[in-house]
Amino acid sequence: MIEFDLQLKIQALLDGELSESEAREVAGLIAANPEAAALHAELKNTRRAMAGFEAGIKVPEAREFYWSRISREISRVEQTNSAKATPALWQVLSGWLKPIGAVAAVALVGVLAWHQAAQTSDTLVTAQMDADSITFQNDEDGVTFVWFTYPAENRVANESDLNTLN
Amino acid sequence: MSSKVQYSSAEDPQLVRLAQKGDSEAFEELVARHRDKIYARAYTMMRNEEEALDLSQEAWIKAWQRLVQFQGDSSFATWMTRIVINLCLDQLRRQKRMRSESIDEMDEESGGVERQMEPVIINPTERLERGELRKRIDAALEKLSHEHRTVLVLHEFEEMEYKEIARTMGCSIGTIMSRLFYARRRMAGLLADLNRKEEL
Repeated sequence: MIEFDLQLKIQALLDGELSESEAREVAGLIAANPEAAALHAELKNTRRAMAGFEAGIKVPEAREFYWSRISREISRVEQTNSAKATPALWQVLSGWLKPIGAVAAVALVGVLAWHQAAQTSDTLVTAQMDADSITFQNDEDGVTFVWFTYPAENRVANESDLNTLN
Repeated sequence: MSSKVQYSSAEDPQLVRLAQKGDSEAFEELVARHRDKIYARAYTMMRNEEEALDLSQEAWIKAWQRLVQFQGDSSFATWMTRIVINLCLDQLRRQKRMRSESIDEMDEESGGVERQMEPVIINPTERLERGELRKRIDAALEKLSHEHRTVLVLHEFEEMEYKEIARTMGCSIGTIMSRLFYARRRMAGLLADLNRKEEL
């Protein structure tokens, strides 16, 4: 019985996978050993038998039928891809609205901060003329003064037909 | 543009260029030219007509999607067969995961009894018509495990070198040599056995 390693080398020789020196060596062994020669012949015959085997296999469907399924699937895949590639209207709008919203949010924060700063300023004076009162408020000192006039002393009160206390 | 093209007489590279620009008629012509070869490769690997049809058609769909990647380094037919081979290998791996390995397969992996088998002296191909021989090879291929059949197909039909098969199948060159040897010896044995039965 030939060593398995030599069996594989005989096969490799047939397949052209050996270096030139190895090929010479194995060819010499085949020439000297009838069993090796028989194995080489068997492998060669098997390879020859298989040559052209696939050429006899044909698609068991008509050209049009075979193509129609491919064509349908290509169309379906392309439609899916184009649907993915084309964003919906809300997606387009959200694309614009996001940066606008961000800018608006920043602006709102700015306004609120400014407003808060204004409220915490030294003095805030509120005049409510139709209520016949004037308010002076100092947040820093925590002082608020409210003047009530009686009878009304402001222009609005004078011009209106309000029933003031007599 | 496409109305001026005679698709049936155009060379493959011209059809590929047209198909790369979205010309589906050019692609249809390529399918018509190479569909038998692509189907045959899928059938030889899968041994199932329906699966071979599905996988070969899937290969064409993938080819259409990846056509822009085809640079013409190899022939279009070679590029296509590599796509279908990869699809078949993926499918075979999925199937293998679903079934447990039998003792037979483990034995085949190591070479089994074939390494000790006496060489078949008679020529398995003598006195056989081509059609008859094809049937016998078909029947013999059926009896191989998918690992051995795949190595045989990639070597004999795709003419891949050992290292290329090893890379494609994700195993060592030694394993490929061993599997190929086993597959060939089993084929020889099966074909010789058929011859002997006929003589009785």
